[in-house]
Amino acid sequence: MALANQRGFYYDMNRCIGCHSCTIACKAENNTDLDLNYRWVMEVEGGTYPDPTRHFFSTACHHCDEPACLKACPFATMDDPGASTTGNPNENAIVKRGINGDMDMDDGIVYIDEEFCTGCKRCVWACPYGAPQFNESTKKVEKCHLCKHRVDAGLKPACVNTCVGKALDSDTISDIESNHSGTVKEVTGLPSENLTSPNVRITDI
Amino acid sequence: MTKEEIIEEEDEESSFTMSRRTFIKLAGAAGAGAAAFGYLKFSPKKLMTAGAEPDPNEGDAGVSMVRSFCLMCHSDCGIQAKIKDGVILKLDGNPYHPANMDYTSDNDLVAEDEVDFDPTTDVGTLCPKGQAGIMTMYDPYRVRYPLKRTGPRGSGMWEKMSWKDALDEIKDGGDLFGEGSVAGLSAIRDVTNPIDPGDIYDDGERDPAKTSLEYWGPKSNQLLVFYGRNMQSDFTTRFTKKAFGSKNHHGHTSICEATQKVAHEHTFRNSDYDYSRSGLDQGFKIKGKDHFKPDIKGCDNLVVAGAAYLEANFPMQALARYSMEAIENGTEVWSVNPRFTKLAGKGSNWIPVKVGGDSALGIGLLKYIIENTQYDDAFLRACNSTLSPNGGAWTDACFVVREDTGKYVLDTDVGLPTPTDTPVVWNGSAFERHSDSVSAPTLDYTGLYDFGGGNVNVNSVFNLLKTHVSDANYTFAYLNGQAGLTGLTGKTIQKVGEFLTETGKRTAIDYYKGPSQQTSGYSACRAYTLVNVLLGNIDKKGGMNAGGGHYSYSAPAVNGGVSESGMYIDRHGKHYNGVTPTPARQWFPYASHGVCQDIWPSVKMGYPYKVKAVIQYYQDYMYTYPYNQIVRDTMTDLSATPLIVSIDAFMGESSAMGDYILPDTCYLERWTIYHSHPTVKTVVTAIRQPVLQDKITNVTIAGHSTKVYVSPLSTLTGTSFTTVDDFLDAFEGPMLLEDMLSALAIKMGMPGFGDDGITSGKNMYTAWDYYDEFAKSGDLGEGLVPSTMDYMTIAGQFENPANVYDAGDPTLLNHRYEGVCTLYVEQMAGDVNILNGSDTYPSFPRVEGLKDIAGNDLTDEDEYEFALISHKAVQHTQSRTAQNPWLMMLQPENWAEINTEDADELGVTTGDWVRLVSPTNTEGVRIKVKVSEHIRPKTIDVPWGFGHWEFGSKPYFVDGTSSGSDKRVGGGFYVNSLMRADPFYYDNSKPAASTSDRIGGSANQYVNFVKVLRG
Repeated sequence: MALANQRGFYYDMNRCIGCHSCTIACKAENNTDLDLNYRWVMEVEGGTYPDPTRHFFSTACHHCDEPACLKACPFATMDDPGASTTGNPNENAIVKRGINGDMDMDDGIVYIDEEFCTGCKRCVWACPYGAPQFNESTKKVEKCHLCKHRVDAGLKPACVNTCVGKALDSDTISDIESNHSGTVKEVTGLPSENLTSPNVRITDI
Repeated sequence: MTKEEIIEEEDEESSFTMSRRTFIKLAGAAGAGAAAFGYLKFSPKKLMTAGAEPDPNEGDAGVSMVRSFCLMCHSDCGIQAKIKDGVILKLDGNPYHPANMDYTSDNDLVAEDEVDFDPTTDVGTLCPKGQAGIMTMYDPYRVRYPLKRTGPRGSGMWEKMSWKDALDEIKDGGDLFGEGSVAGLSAIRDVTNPIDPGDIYDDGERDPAKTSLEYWGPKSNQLLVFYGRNMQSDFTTRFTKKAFGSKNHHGHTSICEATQKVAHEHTFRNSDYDYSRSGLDQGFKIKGKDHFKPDIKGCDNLVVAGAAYLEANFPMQALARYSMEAIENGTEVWSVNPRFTKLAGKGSNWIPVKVGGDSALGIGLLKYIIENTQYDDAFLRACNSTLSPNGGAWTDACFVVREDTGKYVLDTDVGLPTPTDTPVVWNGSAFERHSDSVSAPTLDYTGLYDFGGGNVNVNSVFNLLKTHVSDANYTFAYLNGQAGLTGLTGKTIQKVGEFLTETGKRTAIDYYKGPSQQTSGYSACRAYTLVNVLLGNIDKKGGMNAGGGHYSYSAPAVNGGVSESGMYIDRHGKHYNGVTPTPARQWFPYASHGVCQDIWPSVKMGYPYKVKAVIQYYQDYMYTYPYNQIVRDTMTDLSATPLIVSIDAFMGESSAMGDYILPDTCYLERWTIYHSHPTVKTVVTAIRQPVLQDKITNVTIAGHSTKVYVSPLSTLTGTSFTTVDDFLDAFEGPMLLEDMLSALAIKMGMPGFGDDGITSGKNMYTAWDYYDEFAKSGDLGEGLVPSTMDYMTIAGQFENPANVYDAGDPTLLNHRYEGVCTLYVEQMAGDVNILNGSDTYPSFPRVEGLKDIAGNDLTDEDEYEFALISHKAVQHTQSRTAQNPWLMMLQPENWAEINTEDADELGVTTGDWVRLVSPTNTEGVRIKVKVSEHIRPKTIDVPWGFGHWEFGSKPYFVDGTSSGSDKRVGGGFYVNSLMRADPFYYDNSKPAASTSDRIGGSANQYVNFVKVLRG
């Protein structure tokens, strides 16, 4: 049930230098709690001396077509867009824009509506990517919302803007796929794409 | 409560999780009550109680953007601050600065709206340090008032002072601490009388041809201004040298990169080099280009030795962006490093050279290139600019050298008509001046010439180099293997040679701190530099050059200043010429960038003369010195350092040890006019300005109308002040360095400050006066409020970043060096180390192991079998980033990384504790181990920037009130105390420096050995 203008991230593993600028840009933009990151970079070391390897993987919410977080949420449902075309009329704690709220949008950004989140953490357990994170101060869950406040103003997400190695981008999935050939949705170490149909397109190493 | 109880309680209520806006709210509220409470106590609690809200967007109502440039490291990238309601919300990259973004402009000089991007929506990139700089600004533990110690040095006990009282005490001296009389700066500033004989260590070390005043200098030299990352050095030079009259204005370069600069200067020297050799200290006068970098995107094959492009070096962002693009487009990058760097992980080959092996590897590459005739024959034969195939650059390879003296043969020596002391080349049948239109200079020349006393062997420089690298000691068998210095096989060295000489490829070798910061650094750096010269890549696409440079500007001149004279504390730039046969410490004739690691031990020793006052600025040598114990020893010795004044925004480890702290503003709150670095191939003048522009306040001081920056942490009561003292009394809180030193200088009646302080007739009261005049010079031209130009809006003057290559010949870089490339450092011929007659200074780089300061081999470290190295993690810079919660969140502590093979032998695994013990630090340092495949065996890497013991990691007390603290600032481990004290001094009971490169002056930060003990 992919939306025509579904948005997501593009990530080129070859060009990522593991500098964590994306993580810090997200913190600065979204003013997140110190120990809670919407985007983070993993470092994967392998091989044997003198032929070792080191790769990086920058990851965040993948704004999935079949979001496990939303499906696990007791206060949200995928199949009730409600009568209104704007806002979150059905008080869904997790919204996928154009599917169960914000029906005038068709970019499929998945965000948590703090007003209705009870902090039950079911989404934290359900997401195979570890995107939703529990905030001990607010007792609610938070995660990447693809800087929807920026996307709605025609701007790129903060993490994309600052990517030093030019590894990260965000766009509609159809534009990403036409700009970058040979991308994949799953690389070694990531869960099967079949679980959630993630909206990330990766240039693998 | 006791001090210890307060510290313990505060550890429980850390401020790290506080958002910056919460902090600002708190700061505002507390600021209002500050007067009532005296010293403001900052001990904020965890205050995040509501869900986070994202920032407003650029372009939203009330949001402004101010551009400047960064100082979270020395990459000096552009920044763009997003500001609302007087608060800095976010820092992005300035899209106009070429370090942050690649773009094209319509014209050669970039104008605000004539670019191929949309400045209202597009921003440049910014690294994590740069973005986190916002927390430097809003750090809760910033020093907020002038402080004076009330306990012993380092006790952490302070009292708050007014600006006027603090500056008066520093100026006037007296019994300031109840410990006896201390000379103030006014008494020290005697620019006409010689230093008291009792303050001179050994007057027998004076050149007998000079008076004490001429040689050691005036009493004013007894002020030492010792700085770290000082980007206001034009100003501090004005204050220290031209106004105060002290020669001792010293920086930190030798714990960073001094030797690589010296090696570059000796190779790419100025064309006005004096071949007549009239001055003994000619070596010091070679001030050529001090840094070349490759044109990364133009390279086919690039070797990077001891430089960490994706983590540090500068500008890190440009290096990273260029490298990633180049690699994507097919450039092969090989990394030479005992550590598997992030760049090594992206490149196609890792050469895990043994620690300390760079001089041998460099010589091995020179040997490979020469013996396989893989050098650029046409380039080497270019004995003048006209003959250059590289658009101007040429070499001394064909210059002829006489064997008996080691000097170039001059036209004067061989009887050419109308001689001008110009070196000659051999044209196949006769000598000709190199600068004449020589048709076919002989590259590999050897012959005989009778200069009047019988035949002497004469050889071309290239011929000498060929002979030099064929030395029996320099066989690949010697260079390689277990017994050799490189720890690589001869085959590996040859593979690197083949890679660099692959037919039809544009190739280069770049290096930075690794090779430089060793006792053999000079030879290592010269060897790698000469590889590029032999490859003939200077100024070529894909080759090496000095970058685009900057547009013209100049610092305002001093009206009626004094001339510095005498001897530097670190004796750099001077040959020893005294009556006493050997000096008590080493002298450094070739270390043109100073020897800062020798300064604190020299001060401790009172050598060559006693220092009476130290002003520290933007430095933390207590933390950054290798073998840092000497800094504590000196700073706690009141007779060696009677007065220590620190200008610092933070309670750094060094500031904590001083007498007074004068609180500085941070880099987001000042002006600087500067350039970029050789990595960037187009012209850059960058402008730093206070990003909170509404804090720039109109004032009148002593009838002079000017502006002062009043930090959000500061208050200024009133706008018109009859005297400088009235202004100081009205000012509370951090003050710009330039404002405080100008006030001090005016109070002391120093030239160059106050009315008519600037040559142009302008008054010099404040930073504004200084930089407004600065920005009226050269190509800027219109001051800090330009009416027709937009350089303050885009924070600089930038050349179109697309202008990298020569429009007429795209195989050449557009901005070229075009000067001489010197293979042979002539002035070193016949020159020997004053402490060791058998240690000659090397005209050609040589293979060299670990040495002490006198050039003696250090071979007694066999039981210390692990080489201790470090690297800058991408989120850290020297001493000044650990107070930043976002950066410490990325990695709360560091570790000792060792190879799996060594770990197995030791029986340790990741997370286990070990103790590292060194010849100097036998008690050692306990540290956790990280076991990996990413480091050469028998090597230990400890990432740098961790393990602070001040800097907000523990509280200081002002009038009995705690500053608050967060122990996470001090996360991780600090290992500089393991670095070896030079046994030449240590064993002779003299105050020791770390081991050092006795030629280029760098501290040895990479060839230190430790034992690893379990537990």
